[in-house]
Amino acid sequence: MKHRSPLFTLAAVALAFIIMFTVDVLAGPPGASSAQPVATWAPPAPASASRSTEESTSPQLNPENPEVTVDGDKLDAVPVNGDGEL
Amino acid sequence: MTSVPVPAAEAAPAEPSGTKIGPVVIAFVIGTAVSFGLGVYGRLHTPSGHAVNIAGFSTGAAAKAALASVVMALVIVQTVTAMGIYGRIPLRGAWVGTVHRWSGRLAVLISVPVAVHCLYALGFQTYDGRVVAHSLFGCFFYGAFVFKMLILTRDDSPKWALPLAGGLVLTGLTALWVTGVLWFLV
Repeated sequence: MKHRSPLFTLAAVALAFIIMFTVDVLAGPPGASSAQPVATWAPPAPASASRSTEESTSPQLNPENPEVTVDGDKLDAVPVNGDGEL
Repeated sequence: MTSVPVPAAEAAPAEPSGTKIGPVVIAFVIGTAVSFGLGVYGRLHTPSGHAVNIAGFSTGAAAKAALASVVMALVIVQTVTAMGIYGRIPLRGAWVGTVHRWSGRLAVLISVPVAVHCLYALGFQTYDGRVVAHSLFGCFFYGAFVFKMLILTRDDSPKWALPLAGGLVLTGLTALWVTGVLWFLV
């Protein structure tokens, strides 16, 4: 006997992944919706920027949402679990 | 004309009749590719630093810890019912298989928001050993899950394949819980 249900389970999990990713992408950055910040966030540094990330210690404005102040450090440059994040 | 007798050792197949290793290897390769793909995505994708919070939880981390603990509980149910299915403990009845299947489905579906939060908001991080292990086991868990689902569809798999796949899923999830939730709670 061929079991089909595992393939449906796989498809359901793949669909759930797609839905969750879509929701996260559509939700946008913190402040724009119910999305919750989990760590410092910074926009990608422009290619022409000459300052290093170490020099940019003052908070910057999030270009997508000027009301939200974010750190200048890259997310992967600092431990994101500093506030208890998993 | 005389017929040449075939030695018994050559006539008998090494594996029980109808058992094939090929589909298991293919399923393993696909599962490995899924793990690798998740890891590559998590590493190359720029972490967004934000994700949709789940209503009722104070922080995203608390939501993830709660959901991951539910998943861990369901995986324990999976382990116990699997031991019943294989006759290791005295659990009998058709309900055992039903509970096993639905606890597994629920466990993986509940794990998806946690995994997406990790992948999308945080990515594959390497800043300390715990985080490296957590990232690796997160990718490993879904690869093992895909491997198990694919060989579940085969009745011609060797008898060791399905318990092995289930053990890999259990190992991955347990390691994920220890490096994530336990660390968060302690």
